[in-house]
Amino acid sequence: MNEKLSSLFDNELSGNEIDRLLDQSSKQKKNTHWTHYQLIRDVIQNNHLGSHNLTKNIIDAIEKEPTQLGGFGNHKNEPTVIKLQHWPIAASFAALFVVGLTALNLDEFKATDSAVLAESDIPVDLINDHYANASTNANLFIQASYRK
Amino acid sequence: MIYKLLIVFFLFFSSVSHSSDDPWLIIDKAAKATKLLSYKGVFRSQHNKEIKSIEITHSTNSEQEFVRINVLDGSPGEVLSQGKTTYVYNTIENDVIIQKRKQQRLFPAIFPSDTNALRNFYRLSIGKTERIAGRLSQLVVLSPVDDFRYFHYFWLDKKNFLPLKMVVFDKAKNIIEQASFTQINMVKNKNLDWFKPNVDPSKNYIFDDKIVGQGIVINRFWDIKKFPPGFKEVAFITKRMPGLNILSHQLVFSDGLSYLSLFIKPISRGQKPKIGHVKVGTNNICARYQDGYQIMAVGSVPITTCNKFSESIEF
Repeated sequence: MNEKLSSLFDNELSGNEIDRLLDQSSKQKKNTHWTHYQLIRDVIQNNHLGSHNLTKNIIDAIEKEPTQLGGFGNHKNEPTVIKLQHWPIAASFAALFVVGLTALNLDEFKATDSAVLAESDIPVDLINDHYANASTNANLFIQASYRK
Repeated sequence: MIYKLLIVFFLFFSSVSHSSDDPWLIIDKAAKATKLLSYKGVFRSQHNKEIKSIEITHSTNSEQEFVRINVLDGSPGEVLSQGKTTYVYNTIENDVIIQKRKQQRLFPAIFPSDTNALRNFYRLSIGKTERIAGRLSQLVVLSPVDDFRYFHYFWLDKKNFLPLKMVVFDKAKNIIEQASFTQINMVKNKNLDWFKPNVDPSKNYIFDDKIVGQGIVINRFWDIKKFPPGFKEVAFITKRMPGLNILSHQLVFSDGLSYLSLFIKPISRGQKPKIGHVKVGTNNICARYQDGYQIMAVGSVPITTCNKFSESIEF
């Protein structure tokens, strides 16, 4: 049955076979498998556009857009355009507010004592991120960088 | 006049014979073999103390490479790669996580497409002929010219130059990493029926939207100076730090054979920055703190290289 479902998504079944399979499939409540095969087919054919709830994910991503702390003073060569509308000023205050709040959560602007690096200080994520992008070993490459 | 013509003639032929005798051509041929040959085999891959059997099927069809890699021991995992598109199928308990990844140089395709850069930083020597996976192979040793790299031993198929075995040693001859085919067959059939994942209907298939290597366009607010010669930046990844609305950055450097990641992460409140060096498995990790940022260099590279990279960042 599963093999036939796979063949269906690969366009390898005839008309009669498709009818029979659809009938069987609806009887056996294979909805979950359908979703899985559709997902795998889309990935193999490079047609996968992300998760089903794309709009929500985009909105969530915009809301979570991170703040970059460094580099704000790095615009010496950019031309300065002065406009008198009020909204850019308000936006600037809002941006400063967000950066200020974020900065409060960081020790960047304070003198901090440092500690000697120990093996227990190395997060698994750090090693995984390294393997995911810089490994010649297939096993390490596959296992890297997934957090539940 | 005749004398001058003879000199030109001699110079031309001596340059031709020199280029055909160039020992580095064997590395070029090996790099091409990994891209052009169609083969199926199983190799044993060792990193630190962990050894795994991995099955690989590779085919080049209409100038596009198709690769399927399947981990045979332990938790199942697969890689399906078509051209520049790579997907990882990673089984974690009852879930199969599908992730899109950047193209990688995974054994046996470990050589860069342009092998010229290797010539400046490694010395090439030819070793003995040995049998690997039932095939005759030629040992080729790349020895570093400085202390920033490891020794690389390659056993290349005598007939088609495909790397059959690779061992990476440090200066003290400790094995850092190795991979060796236990069986391999050249495939003539160009059929791509094999290019699909093993589907386990009892598992949940989840597409992980958090694409590894997904970059957020940012201004680089740092300079990198005085890092070891021969290394070039090959990837740049920016990610949001878990639980914080700020960015961390990963720069990947390679000299063509070795890789090192340089992480630049802001220190969060209550977190003490770390300095110094530690070895985890075969990876050297060097930490430095500067201007609110934790800088860490991570890689299977000598400690000298690791330290140089962690010290190379300037704000």
